[in-house]
Amino acid sequence: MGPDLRAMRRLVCRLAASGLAFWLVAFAPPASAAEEATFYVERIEVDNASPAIGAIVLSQSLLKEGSRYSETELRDALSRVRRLPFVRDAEFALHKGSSRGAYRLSISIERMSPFFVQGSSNLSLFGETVRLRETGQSLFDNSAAVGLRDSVGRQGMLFAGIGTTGSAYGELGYTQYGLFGAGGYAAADLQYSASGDVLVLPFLADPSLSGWEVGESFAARIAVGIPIRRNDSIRARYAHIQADARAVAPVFGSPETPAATASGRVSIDQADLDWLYDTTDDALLPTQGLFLSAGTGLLRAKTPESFPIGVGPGPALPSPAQTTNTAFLSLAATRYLPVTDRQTVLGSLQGYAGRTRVDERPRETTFGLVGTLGHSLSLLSSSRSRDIDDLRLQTFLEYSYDRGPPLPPPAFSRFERLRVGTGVVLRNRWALLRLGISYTVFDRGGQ
Amino acid sequence: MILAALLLVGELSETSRPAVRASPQATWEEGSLRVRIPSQVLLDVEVRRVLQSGLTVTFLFDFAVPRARLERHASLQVRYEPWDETYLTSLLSQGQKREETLSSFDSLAKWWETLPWTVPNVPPLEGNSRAELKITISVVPFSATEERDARHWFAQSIEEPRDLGSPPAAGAPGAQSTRDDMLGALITTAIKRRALRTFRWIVTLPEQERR
Repeated sequence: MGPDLRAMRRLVCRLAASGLAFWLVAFAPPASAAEEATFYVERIEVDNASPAIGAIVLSQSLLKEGSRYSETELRDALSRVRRLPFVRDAEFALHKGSSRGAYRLSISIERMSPFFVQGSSNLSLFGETVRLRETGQSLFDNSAAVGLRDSVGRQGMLFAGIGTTGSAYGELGYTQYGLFGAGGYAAADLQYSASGDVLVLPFLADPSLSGWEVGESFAARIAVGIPIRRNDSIRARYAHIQADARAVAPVFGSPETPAATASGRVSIDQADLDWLYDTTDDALLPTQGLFLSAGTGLLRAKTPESFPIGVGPGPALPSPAQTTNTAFLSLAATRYLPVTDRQTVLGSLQGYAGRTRVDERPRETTFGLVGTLGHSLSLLSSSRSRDIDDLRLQTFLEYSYDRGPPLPPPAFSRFERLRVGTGVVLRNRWALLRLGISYTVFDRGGQ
Repeated sequence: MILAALLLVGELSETSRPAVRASPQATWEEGSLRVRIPSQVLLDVEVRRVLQSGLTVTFLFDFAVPRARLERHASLQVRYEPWDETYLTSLLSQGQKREETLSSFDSLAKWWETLPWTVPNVPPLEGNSRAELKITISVVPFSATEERDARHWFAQSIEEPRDLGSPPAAGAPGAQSTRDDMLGALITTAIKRRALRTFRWIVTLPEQERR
């Protein structure tokens, strides 16, 4: 048994043990469920919302008129409503129904503004040289976007935006709610950029972990979600990304590795199917709850031929075009634990394991693990936070390990990284802004 | 270490917030502290709003005497019943569960004022400076019963909930239910959920009856 296979077995065992532990705590029966009050909800009303928004909120709550619910079930429904991207806050209240013992559930929501602004500025510092954009020891990333998100039709939500991440892009998306027995959804999203940017493909798609400088790029994504229980759902996704490549350079690792020109198209096709368990209270800035996912997927990536520039006295040999096919399994678990009313700590573990074939070479094992510890502190008191919503200081420590198929030197097939970062996030009903700094303590590459 | 430092900074930033104007009163009674907490907590706009929601609101009480390295915890669940326009309360303190039905908000406020919060078995406090009692009330929407994951963890790991009095002997009638109650109190106080509001006081203990 090779060292790779043994290491992968150890990783899979650890992932399985972690997944089992999370499953046990997530589905352990409540010790005093019998004491919990239940309510017969004969009518449900959504306040402060248009008919279309009200219909979406009602369908995503998974609550049905004429049913009996416990407080736990109502709490979970409230979390589902709060996770909707256009909802800033939501509350439930029970009122008298038409006859004794029957209740009218009032869902009051506060919407995000249809117009919104997103901005992010992050200074990345590295303990070792980074080739990305030839910045050396640091990288300053800025992104900004403005957009519109509003309801169309009976339970549709249209999204359009323009932004920049160093290059300008436009995006158009649509989500249809209320499918598959009311709680399901289907979403489609198109993104186009005419100008150049640097694209780093996922490790499963490009084991060399390179930064591809690209020109025109296009992405199309579709997703379908079907609820199976109140906190569980099945999600299927497909994504196609393509871009015209101009140059390529390893992101991490040996600084002596030269950059290369490239001509052709980089493309990724990825399909995955996941089971999700989600009790978090917010889609963007959760403060409590548990998120689990387990899934499988297929990924196919194509990278074009590249030609090294400025190396050695002899003629440089081109790197051939490459096709990578990977079938993989993935597991993820994140626990948000509020330790006071303004502080949350989080622990997250994500892992994947797959079999990768590069061109016609034999299949090799690819696997990876990311562990994150984080802390979030609300900088506003609860009395002020209703006006400004959220102003948070977020800090994280992240360790990741990836191992891919062996590649000819000087490329690496194993990466190990430790990163720490902090940032301030402001969110209100029309904006999400983040200012942060991160430091990569080490990134070790090896064969 | 980084996480500990962040938690400390966060805790320090939280302690600077003002609480309601009226302060709790603490008196000594036979080696125990008797504490009365003002009902102004219930009059807070946010608290009163969620109290009227018809869903359970949990009040988590933390009492600490740092000089004696002593902590006591309790919880109070309140649910407004729209049909009867009454308030159903369930108080869990020192392993005892006490349930009451109160006919109006005013009755609830009066009942709250009469609650005899007790911090028992306070050891003799040494030193010249006056000792302090720290009181924290966290108001958590919904009942605490959904903390089943925490309950599961704690059910396996807690053998003797020392802060809540001695559990009955194993096998004794009512042992399991009392243990569950104590476990519930421990969980609701040890595992924090995101609170809607938090009230904090530091009460200087009366000197003449300190032992």
